[in-house]
Amino acid sequence: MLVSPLQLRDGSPGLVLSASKDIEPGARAMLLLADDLFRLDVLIRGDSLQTFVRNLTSSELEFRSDVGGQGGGTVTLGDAAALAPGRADLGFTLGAGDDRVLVKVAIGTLRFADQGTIRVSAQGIVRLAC
Amino acid sequence: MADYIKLRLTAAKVGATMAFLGLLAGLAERARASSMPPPQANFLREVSSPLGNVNATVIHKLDNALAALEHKLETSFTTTHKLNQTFLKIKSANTEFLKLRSADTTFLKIEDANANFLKIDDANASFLKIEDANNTFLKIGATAANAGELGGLTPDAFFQGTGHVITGSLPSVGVTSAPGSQLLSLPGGIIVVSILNVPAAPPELVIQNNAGAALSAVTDSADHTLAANATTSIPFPSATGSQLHLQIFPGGSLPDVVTLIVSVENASGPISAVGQAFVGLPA
Repeated sequence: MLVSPLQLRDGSPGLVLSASKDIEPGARAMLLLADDLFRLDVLIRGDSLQTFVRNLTSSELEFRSDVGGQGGGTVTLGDAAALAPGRADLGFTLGAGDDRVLVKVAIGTLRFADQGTIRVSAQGIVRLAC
Repeated sequence: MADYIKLRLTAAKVGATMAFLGLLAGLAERARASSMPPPQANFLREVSSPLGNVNATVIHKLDNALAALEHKLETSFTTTHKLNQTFLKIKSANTEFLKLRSADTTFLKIEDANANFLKIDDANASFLKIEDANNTFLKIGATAANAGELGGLTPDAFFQGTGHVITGSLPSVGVTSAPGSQLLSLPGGIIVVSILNVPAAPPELVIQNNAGAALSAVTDSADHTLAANATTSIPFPSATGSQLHLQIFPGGSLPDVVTLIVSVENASGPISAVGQAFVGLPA
């Protein structure tokens, strides 16, 4: 997993997290971890992707329903269609007061049928929620 | 007495003959100048006056001869006038008209023109006017105003939203030369990712940076700088198959952070490559 500080378009500070894991169906795996903020786990159930967000703060976590509504494009090139690429978007806020942050995560999946595994990759960006 | 009368008659004949000769000379002069009075009237007044009615017969014959001569002169004059009215003098023709010989050397015959040149009507039916072509067709090498559009949208439209996920796959990549085989490309071609299969060495991830500025990037093991409008090669960790995980940060015309996750397998011989790029944030 890679975690890097980031300056966003509006000049505000942020954090980018990215990771990729090959997991077997039915197994749960940690995908992203932001210290003292959250941990994101994934579980493949059949053709579904289940996500788990563990709140590492002392305040309330709130999921956002608007994430992915105007989502970006999903483009498949070359022979990648054979890997059945999937896409999921996730968003939530957590923390309290001025430290409350907004987290948006894009998750991509690729199915390697010959290996019996699913590659789950993600990029998450953390920024202040104000 | 008889001799005297005979002498007088002879003298009279000579006088009449002289008068007639004088008359002929006057008529010739009149033919040259048509504005003079009619010769018949002069002859009657000048000749008949000294002789009275003695030589009336002679005078009458002369009068008839003069009348005939006058008629011929008038006819000749009329004929000449008509000729002048009808026909063109050669001198005038030379100055006013072109000789056929000169025309042949100067001008093109219609027959030759038909054989060598295209008629305007035929050209209109067969060829496109330059003005119409300019208004209708794109010149060779020119770029159409909507050349950069896809589905009526400009490249910017595809970057207005964020959270793009681009997936590419290469089932078999033989030994290649730089920049390798293209795996995936971000919208607008800002970043192009290729795989370079190097013999007896780990394959390389080749990134073409078209953002117009150098971009910072980081992998699991090192930091990198992607030079502007150039390619940067990053070797995979292992020759037998491995994964590269790369974050590229905004700069130039790249407004969003990009995560690249690319894996290669079967590094001996042809390799397969799979890659995914995550661009920016979900909306």
